[in-house]
Amino acid sequence: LDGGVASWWGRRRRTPLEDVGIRPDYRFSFANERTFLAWIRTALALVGGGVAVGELLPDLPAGGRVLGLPLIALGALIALTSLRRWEQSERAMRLGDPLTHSWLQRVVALGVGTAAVIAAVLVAVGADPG
Amino acid sequence: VSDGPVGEEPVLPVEDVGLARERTALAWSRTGLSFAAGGAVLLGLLDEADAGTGSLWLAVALVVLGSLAWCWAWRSADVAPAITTRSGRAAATTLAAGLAAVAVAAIVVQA
Repeated sequence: LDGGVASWWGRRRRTPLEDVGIRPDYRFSFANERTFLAWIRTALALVGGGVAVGELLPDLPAGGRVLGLPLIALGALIALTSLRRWEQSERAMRLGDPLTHSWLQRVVALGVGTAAVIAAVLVAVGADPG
Repeated sequence: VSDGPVGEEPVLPVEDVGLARERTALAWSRTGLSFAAGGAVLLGLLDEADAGTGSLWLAVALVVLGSLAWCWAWRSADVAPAITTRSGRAAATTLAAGLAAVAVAAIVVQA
């Protein structure tokens, strides 16, 4: 248990980025920054879309919440992890380490794909057969 | 092209062939516009649909976050790379945490 706590604390109190390794080529840092901003915009699209679906499509089953809430939650997850992802990449570049694998793309692809299937089902169920 | 002694504040070389700084400043502008425009459109749609006050405030929060990002876009054009500076990281953290807070509030409002 002690080792686990120490490991967790060590991760929490990481060396400040400026004190790690050497400053990478500025173009890589800029690319990393733009990638962070792209993730933030993706999160914004999901949150905005989720709010819009939940509020503006009340005729859908469950008032659209069954579709809107997961989209909003996915947006929150991306917003929170994007900053950490940026820091991990910057740290790896400063240390000359390979970039870490990101599971975020798969989560987003899976989440958006699932949302599309749910939307199709909701539209089909809600469609007036007459 | 990367130069400058290790450990000092980042300084852009004169030759920025790929216009990385300009593209990054534009990315900040685009992000600010996305937030502000998205919030404004959402505000209009929600108002038209007679949505609750809580949802309207969420849209307003997005507009405010967009304004902050837009302000930072102007400043980031002079700092390189912007997010590695203390103020840049504060801006990025505000944007990410603010959006997450809006999302959590939206879940509470809708649930």
